[in-house]
Amino acid sequence: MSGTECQEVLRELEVYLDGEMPADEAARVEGHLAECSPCFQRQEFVSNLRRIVREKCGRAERLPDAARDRIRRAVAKETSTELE
Amino acid sequence: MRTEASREELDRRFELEAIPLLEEMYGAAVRLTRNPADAQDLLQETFLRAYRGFAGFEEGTNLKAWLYRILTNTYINIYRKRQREPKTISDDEVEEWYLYSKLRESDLEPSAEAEVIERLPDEDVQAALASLPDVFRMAVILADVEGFSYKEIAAILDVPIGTVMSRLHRGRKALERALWDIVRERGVVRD
Repeated sequence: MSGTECQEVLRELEVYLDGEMPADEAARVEGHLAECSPCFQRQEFVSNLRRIVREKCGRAERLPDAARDRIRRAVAKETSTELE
Repeated sequence: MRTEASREELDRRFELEAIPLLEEMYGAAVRLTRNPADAQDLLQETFLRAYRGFAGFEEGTNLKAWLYRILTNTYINIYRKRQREPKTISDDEVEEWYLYSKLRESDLEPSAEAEVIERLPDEDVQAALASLPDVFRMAVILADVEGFSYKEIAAILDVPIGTVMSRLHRGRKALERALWDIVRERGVVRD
């Protein structure tokens, strides 16, 4: 592991984990992570943190029936207005 | 000018394609407004605007992203005006690897850093996300909760991809700091 390489990989980790990196660059990052335990641990932390945020903040919300009916009525009213 | 028949076709498609997304878009509306009553109003306004503009939606493209764009625009135009001006986050306000370093410095089992956050109640993590200034919060929600790509977020928020990346980076750093504040308040770790 070299300090410069670690710095570079850690700087790019966000884009890598976002799945926005070209395949060849992603392969380079993966190669480094496979060999470098401190970088791998950081990658694990960030990817776990993302999962936790997604799970805890992305819970499905149930739209109350009354609200659903109200919205559908509003759209239907719009439809009839347009046809007039 | 549109014929009545094509309006009927649009109505049929709106019913078949857009209406089934009501529930999912409600989740997004709750995350943006952080309260069910406002979320329901925002959802109604979004679907009315979507219905009126549905002729402009290109069939075969991402309807969910299109609805998110209307949702976020409506939210920005209507709801955000009621709130105080958003703060910003300066680039050097939070150091890189803030949360990781703080958790590493604490008395934890090896590799238990993320578990500390995992054990927090959902409401705490939601509160941390809610504490972010709006532009950063929206970027983080769209990427990390809703799972949109940079390109999709750029289209939804109508900003360049570079701006999306910068808002995400700063937003995530600010989220780490907010999470650390909560972890510390809860006394989960020793500072």
